Amino acid sequence: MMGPSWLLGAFAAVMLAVAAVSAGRLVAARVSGQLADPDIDGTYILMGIAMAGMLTPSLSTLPSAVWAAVFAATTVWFGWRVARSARSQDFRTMANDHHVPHLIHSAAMVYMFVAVGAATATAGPAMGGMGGMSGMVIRVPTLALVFALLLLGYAAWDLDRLSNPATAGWRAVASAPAPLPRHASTPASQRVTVDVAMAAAGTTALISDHGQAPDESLHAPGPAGPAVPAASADPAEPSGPAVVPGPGAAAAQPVVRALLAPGLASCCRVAMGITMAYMLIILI
Amino acid sequence: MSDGTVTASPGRLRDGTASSTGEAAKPDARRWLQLGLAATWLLDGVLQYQSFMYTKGFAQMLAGTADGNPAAIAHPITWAAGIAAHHLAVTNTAFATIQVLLGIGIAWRPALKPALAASIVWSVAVWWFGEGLGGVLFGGASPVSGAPGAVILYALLAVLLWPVDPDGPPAPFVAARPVGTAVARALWLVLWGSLAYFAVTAVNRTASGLHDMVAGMASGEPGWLAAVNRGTADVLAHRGLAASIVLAVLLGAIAVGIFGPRWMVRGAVLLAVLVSAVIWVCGQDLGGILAGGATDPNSGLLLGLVALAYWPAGVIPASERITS
Repeated sequence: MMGPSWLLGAFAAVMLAVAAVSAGRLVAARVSGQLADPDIDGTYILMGIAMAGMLTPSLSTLPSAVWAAVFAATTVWFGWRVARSARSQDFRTMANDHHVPHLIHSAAMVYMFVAVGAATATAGPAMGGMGGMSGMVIRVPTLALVFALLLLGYAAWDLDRLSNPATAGWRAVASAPAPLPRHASTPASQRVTVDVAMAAAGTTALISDHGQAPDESLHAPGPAGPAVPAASADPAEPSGPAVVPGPGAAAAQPVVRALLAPGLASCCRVAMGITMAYMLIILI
Repeated sequence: MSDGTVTASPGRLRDGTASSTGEAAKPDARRWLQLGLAATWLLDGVLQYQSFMYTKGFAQMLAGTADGNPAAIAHPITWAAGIAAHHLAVTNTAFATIQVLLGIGIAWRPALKPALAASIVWSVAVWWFGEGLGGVLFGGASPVSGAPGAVILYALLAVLLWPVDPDGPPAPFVAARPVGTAVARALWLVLWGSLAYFAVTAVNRTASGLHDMVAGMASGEPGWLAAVNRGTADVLAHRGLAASIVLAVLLGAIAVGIFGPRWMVRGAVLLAVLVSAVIWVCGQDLGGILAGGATDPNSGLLLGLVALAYWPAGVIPASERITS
């Protein structure tokens, strides 16, 4: 055993919660029209499911080789995004780029699946996940320690930025009005769908009243990500069908707001980092 | 205030956190060191969650630290190890979770002071019940193996990085901000001076003492680290006394270097970081983490963090110098 099964199960539950929250963020972003960083939330869904499967074999979904290929692709993707931002930024700014931790997360996932896959292949196909890796020897364990140190360092840094009074990632957004759709950048074919969904979430009333994003803090760079272009309502374009807010509208607004808070993304990243560091350490 | 002097700057609160201005939000040198301490606590917690810690071996390891200690120290260790042995899952999960929470608390600005205070209490408790006071009371301590006990260095760092800035002249380095220059220097002298002393105690100055200590670390380590162990052990073979004396002289120079002029302080801090790194890699094998079963990264990493807290970022006022 690489650890008590209940402990592995607890970490797996945390990862599934992160995946669920990330899925919720994607839906909330879709509903509100704030399609900021869907790649990050999408990757976290995959990571949460994959890590839960590694921790608890009964939750395993895909073979290690498939997961390794998936996260190799996300590593390339985030590597490209970091490289693109590095062209116009100095090292400190680049390190501050919110894609760097996702690059490290993705690379660590590749390492873990390659390491587990190789160890499982050596020990026999009957053993799956971390629960059955007793006695296995992974290759390049030093890399596991390096990844773990990077992840824990980033987790500490994330927590610092999350609690920074100047950015106030959680509080600033949690207290802000509900997000609004980006009609100008939303294809007409999707607009009706978005608006109907927003009605269900109770945000349409705000659109009708203001026609544009009422609070720039929703789009301000927080600890979880860069600035998202604010809604640019085009008066020349129709604002879509008028929809009367449903009875559950008011109740849904805080949920959408909370899901889209950069602080929540940071919390997911911290949980992901600590869990991943734990998995790397017990792999050694 | 001279350029680069480590002190509270306009826009920054005196507890080391930031004011509402954007500039003040950037972590300063002390905050970076606090985050380093937080990350180390997180690593400690994660290591404590390893499967080995849920076996009788962990309780036996705790009980083993009582050996050689005076009865007044040893009996509580044995008692605590007995409790841990009977409730392994609960106690170890509590230990690990506390350490993770300490790391989170130090990194989370509103919880900084309570977390640092709790880390001092926890560190002292673990130093006693988990490390047998690092073996300092019975001559078993060695700077190479982790004296004076890694965990007590967490407490020292928590004191040196405490987020206050008393009124008075600008502090010459981060560690002097909460306790003053004289006390900070005294703590440095005690730490590095004691390490110099431990380097030449009977157990460390034998012909094969250091060699055996380093060579014994190679088991279970990855190839490159085992090779480093073997190379270091070869250098130390039959040169235990000479190596101990050289190490003691280096550590002694570090200890007194903090009282010199600025260039000497910088030299002492650089030497301290270098010696810490060499000890951590060659003597402690990165805390033995890669061999499995490590409960912490050992003292080398923490000694490096302590040294960085003494880096003279500003001009040392003439009144603060002992010699110049």
